Amino acid sequence: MKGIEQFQHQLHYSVYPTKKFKTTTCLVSFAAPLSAETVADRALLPFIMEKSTATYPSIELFHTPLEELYDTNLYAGASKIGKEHVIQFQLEVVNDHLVGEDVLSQAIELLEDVLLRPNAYDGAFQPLIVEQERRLQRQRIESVYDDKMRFAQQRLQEMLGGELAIPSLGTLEQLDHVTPKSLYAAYQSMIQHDRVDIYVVGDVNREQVEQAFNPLESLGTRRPRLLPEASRGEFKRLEEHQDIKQSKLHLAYSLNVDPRTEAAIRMQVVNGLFGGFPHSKLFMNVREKESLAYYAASQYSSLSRKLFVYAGIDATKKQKTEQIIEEQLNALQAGEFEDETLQQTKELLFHQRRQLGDSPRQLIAWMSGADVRPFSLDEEMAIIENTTRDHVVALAKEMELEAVYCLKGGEA
Amino acid sequence: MKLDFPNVGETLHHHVLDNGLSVYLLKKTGYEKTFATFTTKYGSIDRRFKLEDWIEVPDGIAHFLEHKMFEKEDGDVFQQFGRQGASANAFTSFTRTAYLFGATSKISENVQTLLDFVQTPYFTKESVEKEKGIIGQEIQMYQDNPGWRLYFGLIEAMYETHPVKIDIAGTIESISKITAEDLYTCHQAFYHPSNMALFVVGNIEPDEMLALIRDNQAGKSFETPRLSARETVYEPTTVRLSERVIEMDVSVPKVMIGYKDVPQAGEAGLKQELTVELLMHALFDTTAPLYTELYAEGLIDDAFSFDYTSEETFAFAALSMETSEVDAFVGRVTEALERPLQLSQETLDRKKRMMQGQFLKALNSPEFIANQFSRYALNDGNLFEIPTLIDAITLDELYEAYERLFRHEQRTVCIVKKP
Repeated sequence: MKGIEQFQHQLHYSVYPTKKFKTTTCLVSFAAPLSAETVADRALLPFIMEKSTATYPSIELFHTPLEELYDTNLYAGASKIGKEHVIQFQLEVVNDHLVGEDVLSQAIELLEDVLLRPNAYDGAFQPLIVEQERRLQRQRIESVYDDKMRFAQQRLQEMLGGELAIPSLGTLEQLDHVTPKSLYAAYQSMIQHDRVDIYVVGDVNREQVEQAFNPLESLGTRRPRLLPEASRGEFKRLEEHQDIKQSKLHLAYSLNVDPRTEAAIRMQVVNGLFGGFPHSKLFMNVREKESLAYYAASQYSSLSRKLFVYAGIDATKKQKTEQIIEEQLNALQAGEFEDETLQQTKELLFHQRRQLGDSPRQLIAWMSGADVRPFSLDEEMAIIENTTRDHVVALAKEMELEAVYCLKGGEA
Repeated sequence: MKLDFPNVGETLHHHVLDNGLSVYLLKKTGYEKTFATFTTKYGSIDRRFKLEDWIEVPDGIAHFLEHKMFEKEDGDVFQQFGRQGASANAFTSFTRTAYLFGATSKISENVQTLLDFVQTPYFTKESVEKEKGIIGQEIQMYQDNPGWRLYFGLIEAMYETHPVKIDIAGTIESISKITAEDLYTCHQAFYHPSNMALFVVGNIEPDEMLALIRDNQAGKSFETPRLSARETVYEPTTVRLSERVIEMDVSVPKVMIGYKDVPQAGEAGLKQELTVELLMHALFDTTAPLYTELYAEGLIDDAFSFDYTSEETFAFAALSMETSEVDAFVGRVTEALERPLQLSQETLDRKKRMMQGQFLKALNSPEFIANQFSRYALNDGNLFEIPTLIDAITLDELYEAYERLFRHEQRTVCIVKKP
């Protein structure tokens, strides 16, 4: 994206000054190595921190000034990104000139309050909020069971092991060990040892950003991003039963493609032909031609070097669906696809990239992945443009089926 | 007609073509993407209507028709959009069916494709039969979704006769009766340009776009509109059932509390919608006294949400929560809503600022503008008047809305829990 300014003090900044939005969006991101020991604390921490601060020590008191500032959104979240665990604090503020008031600087002060002056005393977060949020987190972990697509994908990832197997919220057992004190320790570790990055998109300039975020300059440690290594396990298969109407079939293919290379960009073309779009082989053949599934699609995860396929099917059609999915991959490996379909896939990938610039959140998400993808947006488009049939065939041949999980409904 | 809205920083072009089609164009400077919606005022509730005679069609047909519009003699329209670099989609609600695309290139081609495919019905016996399998799967998938079951369980318990109580997709049984002829009838009745709105927003030149749309429409001939009436049913203000329990294998019980409101049409309906939304923010946001109390008791958390649905012929408020203490939650909320309202001018002013901010933020999204503007336009309103309407809300109006809406006999509780 043209126009992004990057600079570094103690923290690393990426700023995209633009007047096209009604808002200015800021993201402060804290990244640490992913580990099963810390994930439960770190996953709960943002839910606690976004609720109150020492200055505004209850939800009601803290949310009142946010409402007053034209519904400034300040929310925090945690996610697994490859081998790292990332906690993010995002601020979205209506532009000053639209409301004729200085909203942004007041909102950034509230964000800094959250990060620097949490609602904690004697090395522990406020017990009432911790208790409520822990109960809620328990429900979130349990509710994965209600979302059968997520449940099936989680089970598949557990079969694959490594980082993928660590549930992003931690387990119920790990959650039992989370306390107001352990959360405070996780907070201390986060502000001292995490890699801290700041992203801003909106009607701002570099000086404004430097000045506004100066109070955060003492935070964090600069350390390089961790990337998962290539891994390819033994083939595994698992089938489980639940009382559901629609069965879920999830597959994982492993492939040895470094996420920082041109090949990883080209893999998006392969994924697009296979199951990433409505014109893809999976959609056309599994869903449309054979009427085997309500949905059948694929997703490429470059960081974990896997390609996932998922389908919602009738329990009796499991074998047939699996067979047809395999036939689609075989066809890709044999180069059996139209030139026109290849071009169409590229067009949609171009479209995805061009439209990034229209959404502050998507822009920031793209900016935050830039250190893993060493190409500019224009370079990525050029790589997609010159991806040939031979590239696709070679990469499709890299794909090896590693795990099959089926959550079956109907009669056991 | 060019309309300036300086308080939101947008300029809108509006034209009604000779055939009755309403065209709205909005240039978003600096945006890469163009987004277009082509919407008909036709949804799942339109099951009985009058052409020359009264006709009743199978439940779920508006949604079925939406699916089938994409299939043509020479292939699938999704693919054609794809070849033109666009991603297309469509949705059916209670009152509208919308077809849309987003694209960053070949905008003229894509707008033509959108107009042409929606205005060229093509249904065969075979393709209609095949679709029944696909939609049957979709209906089954929704049957496994606790959130969907809860929502429709609530509406079904609230309404006696109004067709809003019927699932948008229909049932496997009702769609089995749909024929190609039925689809042609519905298309003719509801897809006339005079019953539709086209909204194009993004990287466009309004004058050029208007010329293109005019040419496209001038090249087609349409019969005079045949739709002369839609069925209106008598619906009491009180609810059909006060409680409904659905048994499903869920880890945490889900509950929805619904309050049935008296619907209003046109601008009065839009004003009522904003007034009730503001009222609900004042009552249920995290800064409200009720929220603070329930949070301390462990009865409310981030899983809580609220929503107001308002259309010409039906309106209701819904509060939704996941909790293992359903009875306590419902008891505390109901009890609070049966007490007289206490609301300060200060809270009203803060909530107004909050809603103004929410609206301005939403204008970042061309998708929001196109979808919501079309909804407003088909209800004779103008989306960009929202800031003015919000500004005009008074404390008295909030008290009136509270008195009208939160009555015991208008309340339904729906619960999804383990057997």
